[in-house]
Amino acid sequence: MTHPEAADVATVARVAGRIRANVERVIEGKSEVVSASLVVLLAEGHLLLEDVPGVGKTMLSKALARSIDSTVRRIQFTPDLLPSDVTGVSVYNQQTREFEFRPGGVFANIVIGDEINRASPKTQSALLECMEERQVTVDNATYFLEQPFMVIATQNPVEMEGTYALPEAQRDRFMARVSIGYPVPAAEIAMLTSHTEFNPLDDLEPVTDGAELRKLCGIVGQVHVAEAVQRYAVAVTSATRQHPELLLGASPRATLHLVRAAKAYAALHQRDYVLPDDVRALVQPVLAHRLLPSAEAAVSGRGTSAILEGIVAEVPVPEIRS
Amino acid sequence: MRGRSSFAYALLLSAIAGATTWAALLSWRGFTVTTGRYLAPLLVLAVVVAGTGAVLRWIGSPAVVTLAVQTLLAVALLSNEIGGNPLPVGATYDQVILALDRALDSAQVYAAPIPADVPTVVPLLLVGGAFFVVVVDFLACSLRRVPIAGLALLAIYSVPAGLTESGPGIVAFVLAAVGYLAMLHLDSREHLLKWGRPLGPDSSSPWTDDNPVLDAMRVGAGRIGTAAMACAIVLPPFVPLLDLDVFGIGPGDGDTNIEIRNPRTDLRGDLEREADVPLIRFRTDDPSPSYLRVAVLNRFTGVEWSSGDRGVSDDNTSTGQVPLPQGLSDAVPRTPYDYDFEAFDNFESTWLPTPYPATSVVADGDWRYDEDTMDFIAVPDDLTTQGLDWQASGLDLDYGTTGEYFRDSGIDAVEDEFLDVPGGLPSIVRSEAVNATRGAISDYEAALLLQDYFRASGGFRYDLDEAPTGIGGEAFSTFLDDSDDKGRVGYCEQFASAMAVMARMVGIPARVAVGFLEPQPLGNGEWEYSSHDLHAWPELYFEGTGWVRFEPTPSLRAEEAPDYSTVPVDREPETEPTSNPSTSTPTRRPPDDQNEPTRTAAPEEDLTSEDGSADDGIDWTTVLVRVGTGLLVLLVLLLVATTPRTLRRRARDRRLAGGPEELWDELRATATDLAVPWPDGRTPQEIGRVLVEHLGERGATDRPERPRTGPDADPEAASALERAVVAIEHARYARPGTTTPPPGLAEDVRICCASLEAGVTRRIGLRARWLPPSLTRRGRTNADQEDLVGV
Repeated sequence: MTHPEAADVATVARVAGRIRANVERVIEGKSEVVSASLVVLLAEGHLLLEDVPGVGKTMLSKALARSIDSTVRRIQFTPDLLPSDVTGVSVYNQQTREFEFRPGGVFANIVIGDEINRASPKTQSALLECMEERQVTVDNATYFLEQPFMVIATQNPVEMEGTYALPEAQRDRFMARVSIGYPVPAAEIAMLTSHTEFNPLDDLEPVTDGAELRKLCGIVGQVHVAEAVQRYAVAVTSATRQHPELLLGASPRATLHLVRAAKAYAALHQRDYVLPDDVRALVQPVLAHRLLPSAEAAVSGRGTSAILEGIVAEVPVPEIRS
Repeated sequence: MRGRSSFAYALLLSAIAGATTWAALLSWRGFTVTTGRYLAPLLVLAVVVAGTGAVLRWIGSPAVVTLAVQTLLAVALLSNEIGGNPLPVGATYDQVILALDRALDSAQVYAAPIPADVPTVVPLLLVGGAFFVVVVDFLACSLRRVPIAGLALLAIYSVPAGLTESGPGIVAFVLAAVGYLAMLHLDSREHLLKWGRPLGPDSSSPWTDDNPVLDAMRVGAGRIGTAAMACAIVLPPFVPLLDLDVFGIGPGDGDTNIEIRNPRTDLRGDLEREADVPLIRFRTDDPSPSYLRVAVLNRFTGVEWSSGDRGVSDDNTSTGQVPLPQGLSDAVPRTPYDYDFEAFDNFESTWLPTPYPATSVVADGDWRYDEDTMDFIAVPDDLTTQGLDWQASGLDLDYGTTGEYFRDSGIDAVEDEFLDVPGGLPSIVRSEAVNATRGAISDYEAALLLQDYFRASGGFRYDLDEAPTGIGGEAFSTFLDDSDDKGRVGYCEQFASAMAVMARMVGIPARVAVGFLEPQPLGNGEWEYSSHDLHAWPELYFEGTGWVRFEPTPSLRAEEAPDYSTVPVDREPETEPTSNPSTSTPTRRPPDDQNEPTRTAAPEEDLTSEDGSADDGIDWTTVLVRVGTGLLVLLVLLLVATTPRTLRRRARDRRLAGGPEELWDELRATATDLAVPWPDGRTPQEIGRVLVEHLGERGATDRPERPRTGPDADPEAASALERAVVAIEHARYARPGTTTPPPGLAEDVRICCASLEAGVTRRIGLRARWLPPSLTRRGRTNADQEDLVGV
């Protein structure tokens, strides 16, 4: 097993910097959101963008996809979208007299699932297998998805009309959920200038490709996680399971995602080791969407973010001396 | 305007503190009858201390400097008052020490109030009072800890509460309490005003009435003060009192009853009493009972005799057989007699009268005997002889008239205390002792000559009316002075004391016994001692006979001296004896040789002493020992004071030489010392973010009361802290084996520590240096945190 050199993590940071600069040409003033997207990209996870319509969810996912020279597909989730539209379908070829697989929208390096919660649960669940196992099984045949594979899903808040809430199982498969939020007035004015004259997306050139991204992901995977940090991550997720205001705590997969995201976060900061602070910084985006508040907490208006804040403030960082 | 008002404030607070202390010192009036002699100088001293303090504080001098200046001034004033010279050096110093010594003796010997005709205790009161004046001023005004100053005032007040009959007195208490409340009020007002401009119509003048903050303060202080004073006045009767006896000051005068509690040679009052009160009746088979011993006085202070320090074992009870006295040879012929005593109700003694030597004593109650002196003391406070019946068996020893049983004085066989002669006695005592015993070839003969000196050859008279008061100091020299009109007249105490002291001077262990001289026969084997029989006599120690009674009081009072003490002595010529009978060995050393270092017997006259009239009060051995002890104590104090600092410095050096973890520990210890918050269970970055807000500007020349802190105060320290945080992160979380601490990390940590120290107030900085809390408080360990994870 090779350990990443300082130069390797520097490469990660450099490439990520290029992608970030590219994306920020389109999305102004949202660097934390862009960072979270990069973390998820490098950690080989899937990203859930949740916000009200019109704040740039799709724009962000498109900009991210365009910055990477790879296959990109966009699936517009609608109530009448069928699972086969996502995964693909076997069609009988009269000439060859065989069933032939026509890949669905998921067969790409970056899949943009737009307004994912407008599709029926059946269609939503079609994404499940692909996201976790990075493969598609149709008619007993299994098709592997090419690396890198990342689903960037956008959704409107569940209170909006015509939406189906994502099931817990599917939410759990997204590494992080990010809200974009409204831009600050200055950014909004700048947007008026840049977005009214032409579409900035058209100018976006890829700054990296799938092969380099695969290499970067490999480097991120080798980032060191000390025992103290592992303990800390576990302590945080276990605390969510025991918290009286939470009906459902974080799953072991959540812990895994947390640590993997922390590795990417560390690499983005040119470190080949993870700090407890990295874990802390990612607790909200990685864990918040997986938790279910208890009825009392929901009634009293305490959201999962507030509860998580309390947990992070309480759980001590283990001090294992070197 | 600000400066003017703060000077007025400083002066006011100092003046009130001084006045309060002085008022509290009024409570010491019960100690002496000459109250003006300590109150007036202390008033001057309080004014001087308050004035100096106010000025020094106003110009902003540090508290320590103020204290030092005040102490120096107080010492100068005291030295001037006691020694007549503001500079306490040389003769003045000796005089001050002598005065204090005498004052301490008086305090130990006499009951309060201490009469005017004995060495005064005023120097002691002066020194104590000055101490409290300075301490209260320091606490209340320099340190601004008025509540703690209350403890010092309480200490002043509590001294007489335990020691004097009258107690501290209500006037002193009320005055001091009012002063103390005023101080509290001023102090809290200053605190409130420091918060900013008080709300109110006329906030510029803190003295006006229509100010809500001040009104609130006044009402609060008034309520607390009133409640506290009410408690102080009402509660005491319900609180159990401790029986304080710090100076061993005895009880006051008795009335019609005869009390012997703290036996002193103070029989004069009883002897002068018109009525001869019967005290003890007893029945015995002894055909001619005589002396009955009550107590033994071991210690001579130069002023008075006292029973000294007694240690009695639990086994030494009055329930039967008691051991024979030390040094008594079996060869001495003896006749046993039994006694059956009964004390009258008016005889209250905490010492049990017994014949000497006794072979058995049976008395109800917890009476214990001291093996050295064979006198019996009551252990419970309320046990006295009042109405007591007790039985004793004693021996009538026949020492013969030839001195055959008297061997050498055996100075090594007894406690050193029996040979102690205090410094400062009139020189006539020693010269008379030498003259009286000149030519004696043995200790026994010296004792015989001494007794003869008092009974016959010295021309002494027994006269209770003409006898001078007291037995120490002036009275002692008058008593021995042949040329004085009032000389060579005394009563039993003076004879017994003088003979005992002079015997000690010539190297014979001696002590004074107090008891009854001779009973009146009532017929039918019954006898009675009355108050006029009270008597004192010396006991001298010889090998072979043990402690033996002598009778220096002339025949007008004590008709007969013991047979063994009336042997005529043929004085040897001045030359050394050539041969001697075997019974009296010629080993007796002349008294001039008595200045061996282990003995506190004074050497010959010290020419440096003021006028040569006092016995050489300075024993250089003692002085050396005392100075040495003082230095040692000082050294120990110094060590104790500097130990935390030394330990802390060592720990710092050790950690600064270590790796990142040790350096991080040093940072944590420094934060702990400086009371800078150190969040436990947080990441290094978070800790760094907290610490950076407490960094102060290093090397700031004029450190303000509250130094400016934050990353901007010292950017260099802030970046050093950042590097330290990265280093500890690297050490803890990076892949093992890849960590090499950056060079200069120790320097970074040192910079951080210095910057943190520059960011705290001077007081906290001093505490961190001298009493670092990190020595006792350790950072939280990890053990309890891992449980959260359950691994």
